[in-house]
Amino acid sequence: MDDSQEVLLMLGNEAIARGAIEGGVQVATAYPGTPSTEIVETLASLAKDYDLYVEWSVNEKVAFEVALAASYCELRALTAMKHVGLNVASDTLFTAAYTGVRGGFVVVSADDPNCHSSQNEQDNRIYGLHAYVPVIEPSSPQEAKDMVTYALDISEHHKVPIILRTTTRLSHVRGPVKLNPVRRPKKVGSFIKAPERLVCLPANARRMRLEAISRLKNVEETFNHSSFNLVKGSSRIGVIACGLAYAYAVEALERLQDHHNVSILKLSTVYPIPRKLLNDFLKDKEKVLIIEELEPFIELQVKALCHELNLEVEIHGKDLIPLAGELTPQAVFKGIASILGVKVELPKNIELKSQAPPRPPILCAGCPHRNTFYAIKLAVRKKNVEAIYPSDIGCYTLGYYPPLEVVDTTLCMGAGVGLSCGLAKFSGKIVIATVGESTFFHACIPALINSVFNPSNFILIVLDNSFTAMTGHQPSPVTGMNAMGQKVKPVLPEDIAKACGIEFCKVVDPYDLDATTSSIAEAIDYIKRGLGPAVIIARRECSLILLRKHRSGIIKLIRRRVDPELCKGCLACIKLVGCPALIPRSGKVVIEEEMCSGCGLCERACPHKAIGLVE
Amino acid sequence: MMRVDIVLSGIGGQGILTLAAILGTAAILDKYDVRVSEVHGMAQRGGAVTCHVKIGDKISSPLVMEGSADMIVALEASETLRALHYLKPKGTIVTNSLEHPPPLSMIKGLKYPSLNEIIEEAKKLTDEIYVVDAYNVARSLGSLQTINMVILGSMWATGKLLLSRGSIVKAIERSFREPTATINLKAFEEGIKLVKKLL
Ligand code: SF4
Ligand code: SF4
Repeated sequence: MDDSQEVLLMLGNEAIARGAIEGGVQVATAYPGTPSTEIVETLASLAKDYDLYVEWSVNEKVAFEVALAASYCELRALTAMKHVGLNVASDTLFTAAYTGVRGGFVVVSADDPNCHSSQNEQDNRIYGLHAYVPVIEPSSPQEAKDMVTYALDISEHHKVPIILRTTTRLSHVRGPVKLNPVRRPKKVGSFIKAPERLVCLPANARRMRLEAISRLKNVEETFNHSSFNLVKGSSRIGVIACGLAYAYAVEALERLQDHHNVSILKLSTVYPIPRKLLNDFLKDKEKVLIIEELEPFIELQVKALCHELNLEVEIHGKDLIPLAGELTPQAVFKGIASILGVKVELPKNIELKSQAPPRPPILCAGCPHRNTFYAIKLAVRKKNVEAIYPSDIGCYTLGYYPPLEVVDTTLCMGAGVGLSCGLAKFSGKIVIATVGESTFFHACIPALINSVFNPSNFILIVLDNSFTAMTGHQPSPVTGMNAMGQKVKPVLPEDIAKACGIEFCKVVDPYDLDATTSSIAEAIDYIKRGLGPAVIIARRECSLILLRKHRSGIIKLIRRRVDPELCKGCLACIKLVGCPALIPRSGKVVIEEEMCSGCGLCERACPHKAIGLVE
Repeated sequence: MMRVDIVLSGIGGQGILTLAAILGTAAILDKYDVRVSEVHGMAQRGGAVTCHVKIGDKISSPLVMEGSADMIVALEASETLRALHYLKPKGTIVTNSLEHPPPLSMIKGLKYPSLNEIIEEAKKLTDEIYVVDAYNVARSLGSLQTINMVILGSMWATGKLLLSRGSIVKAIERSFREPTATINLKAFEEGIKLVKKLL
């Protein structure tokens, strides 16, 4: 990303990062999470060039607080998180709206309609309403970039934190983006004490709530004149569209061009709604359709506004546009056609005799988690017990799928250990929880302390592969390196577990299946005797990293192959292990050489001894 | 108004996102507007991946409407079926002949369609179907990672892409370091030959 005024193909998230740099952001923080990850990832890769401070924090609350502190020190700051990440940071968000900010402070909330890689759908614009924080929503990569700069200016001018809301489709779309020069008034942070503002004792908080309310009024004034809102056409039938919905609406109107004239309001400043602008738009309308992704956020506000202003406009929204899932061009097209009373031909679904096979994501070939899960099953069988498997958010959630099926619960970051405290007490079964090391640091430590404080007997297996692998291998506290590539002291889960008071604590290598299985079996005995919680750290680098190191010659993997003479085609290896490097071909199984990490699991599973080392 | 709407589908790890990004870069070099929309996240772990690419004078929506794609492209044979409902009648199909049944279908005993069955289904919509053996071409080049560039060559050779060969070459050169760039360019050229043979 250079500074000339050229046009580059940019991911929505990269465009946001670029906007931050153009807008003079000096501090950026995040905990990785799809679909927000690439924002801070991009900034981390540019930290040296632009002299930025960038960090992967242990969780979103911490990320929010580090960036907020920078803003308190009059620096411009950005923090980015996925929608559910803002739940973690929400405690601080609500009060930050009271304290206000100093340097421009943007919170990017990347929502995930359709839960492409999340546990729920959540419309975080509502956080703005609830927390007294302005929200804006871009409709293209170009706007995403430009609106970050705009948001920083508004935030600094009105002293408010501001939420830039995106959705997966915008975060992950690539489009042309025209660059602007970078503003570089490099500042040194300076903190001016203001306890009457920054100490939220009740007496201060009551006053500050009033300030927050009046700040919002001022922001609304600014939003009334924002050039990111746009009105086109003057028909009595109108469409109001927010964010990406605007892009769908424009295309739908192109298709319907010959039928009708519609006037359209692109609303980019979604909270507080610019009432004057809306009043001007609504006052001569007969009918209006509001198109927005997820909740009827604008719809409810507009309905209230019409009532207040005595406007007799027929308002449509979620009656014609789906409430759940991601918006699609079809859905928007249908909605607009129906408010126009136009009959449209939608493509008929062709009848197919065969279907594409379901292809859910699965654990990678050689993933150490597969071995650990397999060992859990072996140990449980060996000890002949019934077990429950709470788990968490990360690659290992994929252990849910057959043939492993060792994930019984997944709610949100850290919930697995918290649930285990309860399940161990109330279920009468053996509880074996799994959690990645990154999630462990993120949200499991208080629950682990709880398991000692209010004793519960379960096994926690920390699946430590040295990275936050799910989101693309950001360093975690065990990696020994941070976002800016500095060497740092690794923080080890076993040290933390011991410090929490865990007495049974073992570290194993999951590629050593026997040792891993017997440690788990031992832990089962231990918790059965009611001696307290047991923690096992199953440590082995993510196999994608192993393969990468192998390809660049840093390490040498010894791979497995199937002897076609011995292979009977029983598929036991695939059915027991499910490694994607095992491919059925002409009645037998072959191992895709480029994928195999040589972990040896399939060799153990093959009843005909057909799998062995590559000589 | 000129425009080509493309839906790419394949398996995580096949380099579908790289392929899509190269299309996007080439489009910008040819002064078109473009949107490349990728579905990733968990998909990189061997899951199904779909990418929408729209190239033309003016694009606003990042997604292709069902039944309106000018071209669908599958990097694995059965993935053609996943994208088929996007294709407009008489549109173009480019598909890799590689068959890669997912392990889950084995475990659950689900049926995996044969290449012939797949083509039969596709014929309900169009006769313009290019089946190319990208797997073996990539293999002969010594890198299975180039399957995507072989497919790109084949896509270009259909003449439907709007993009100039020169811009695609430039986009490929920009996307890889040497010596990978050279192998990928080679793969692109081989992909063109595959379709030229079918024409
Ligand atoms: S050794 Fe077997 S199970 Fe392990 S990565 Fe290779 S094929 Fe997969
Ligand atoms: S990325 Fe790493 S941790 Fe995740 S499934 Fe693949 S090998 Fe396992």
